[in-house]
Amino acid sequence: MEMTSPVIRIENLSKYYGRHRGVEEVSFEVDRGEIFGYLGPNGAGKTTTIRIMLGFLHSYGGDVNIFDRNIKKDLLTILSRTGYLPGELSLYGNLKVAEFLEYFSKLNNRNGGKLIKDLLERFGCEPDKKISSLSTGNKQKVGIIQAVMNDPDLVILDEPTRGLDPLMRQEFYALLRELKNKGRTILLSSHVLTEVEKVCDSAAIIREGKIVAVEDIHSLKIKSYKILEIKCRETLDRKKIKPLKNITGLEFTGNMMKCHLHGDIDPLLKALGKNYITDIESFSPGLEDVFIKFYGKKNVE
Amino acid sequence: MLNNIFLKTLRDQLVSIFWWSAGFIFISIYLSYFFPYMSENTAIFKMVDSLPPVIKNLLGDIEFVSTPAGFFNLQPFSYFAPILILFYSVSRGVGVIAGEVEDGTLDLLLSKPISRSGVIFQKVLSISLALAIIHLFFLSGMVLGLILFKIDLSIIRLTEAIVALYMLSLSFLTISVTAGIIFLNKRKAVGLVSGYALISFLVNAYAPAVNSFQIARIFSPFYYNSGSAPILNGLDLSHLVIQVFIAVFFFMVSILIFKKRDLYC
Repeated sequence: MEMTSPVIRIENLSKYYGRHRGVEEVSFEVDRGEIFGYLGPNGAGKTTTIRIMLGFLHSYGGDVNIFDRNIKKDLLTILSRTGYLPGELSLYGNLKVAEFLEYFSKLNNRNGGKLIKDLLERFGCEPDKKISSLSTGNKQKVGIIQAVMNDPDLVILDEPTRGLDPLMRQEFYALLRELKNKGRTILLSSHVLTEVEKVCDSAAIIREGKIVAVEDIHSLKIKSYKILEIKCRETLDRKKIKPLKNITGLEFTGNMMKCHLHGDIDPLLKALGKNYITDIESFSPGLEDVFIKFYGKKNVE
Repeated sequence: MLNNIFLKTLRDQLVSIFWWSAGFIFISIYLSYFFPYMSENTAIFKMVDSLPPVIKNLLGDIEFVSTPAGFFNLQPFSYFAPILILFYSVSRGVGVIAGEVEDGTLDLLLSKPISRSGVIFQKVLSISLALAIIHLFFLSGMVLGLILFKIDLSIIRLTEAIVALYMLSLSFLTISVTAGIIFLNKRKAVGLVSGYALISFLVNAYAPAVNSFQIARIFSPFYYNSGSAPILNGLDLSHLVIQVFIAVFFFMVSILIFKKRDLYC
């Protein structure tokens, strides 16, 4: 039964903080072996959803089932199969890294042993260091290790790459892919579209407490774009540049060109022809910009 | 050592247990050293006799101060010991949940398969054990003082007074845990419990002199600790039962509130 039914099934979940909205009528499902992105700007309701899933908050209405069990009835059984990395990570500063991991492993009624050792090596963590002496990035690594060290069936990660350097970020993405290959399910909450695109199979997009869309990652990639600022030596002549399908939002200011690039950059470089390019800068758009561009305000109001 | 929350909480208290125990041993021996001088000093009794009844009541059973039981009932059992031990109980009690919230570690803890009541139970049990150890060292210090300075005092009565004090510390421990869960903020919780402790202490101290305080006294945990002066008269069983009831009642209340409480970031 459990093999075919979704690992996470959330139906019409609502939560209010007094008069303030937390989440409204949130519904989505996550299948076994899926890396599911939970995407939304800060304050959209991602953390509220996760906190209800873990029993920290009581919902106002709706239902949360994980492993075919209801969180109100079988929370401890669900938690015994779940790893969690909070968005605002705090660890016990008075413990050493190894002590901390061993303690949390014991609280999970497990003995991490070799897996913990391997993960410590993989992420370059020193087991004998006191947690209070670690940098933010290193604390985040310890947080990630504790979330996966007992080989949970479900891993819930709230903004997991906060504070990680680019190299460690790649290592973390590789770890997620390995977990997926082992059939583990991952819920990754993020406000970074490119991160979700990189590792997730599908994603729910939440804005102002409501689910705006649940999309597979291919559809998201189509919606995603990069903002390019291209500087040339001479003033650019708009008429001389061939229009391209994957370029939108074209703006010219003297020798500077600004546009939204969807897909590969090569056609654009070729279209610029003989212009001497002195600089190219690329930015990821804010999630809010992507929402407004593709989902529009109307969808959530 | 870090197999569960109980042991982790105990480990976190090890240094405190050491210093608090050492402090109580020191106080006990110091007071035993001081007793002969106090019992022979008649001038102090004359001075106390001239004080207004209200102040005399606040000072406790000073008439008996020339006897070992009377002296130790006044000091440490009426002032030093309850006030000191409340510092420990209240500071540790409010930290049980509010401390984890302020440190930001409660999320990780509750993401493990442990019930909310289990977290409170293990932590309160661990602090209760720490308090028991401190009280045991206090008793040892007192006994050592009696032996060193050849003071004739019943060890059983002394033990009874320390049991009553331990129950007072447990009452304030569970009251503090409850306050910590209500506010999820250590400062506010300490403020509330300290305020209550001060008022209930004064109500109990002034009750013999102020009629309107007589009834209010029954709401003071200090009344059930020192009201019957256990070191002089032995442990009052009904007071002991009420102390156990207060501790268990607030323990249950803390669990009920914590189970219902939404825990924000």
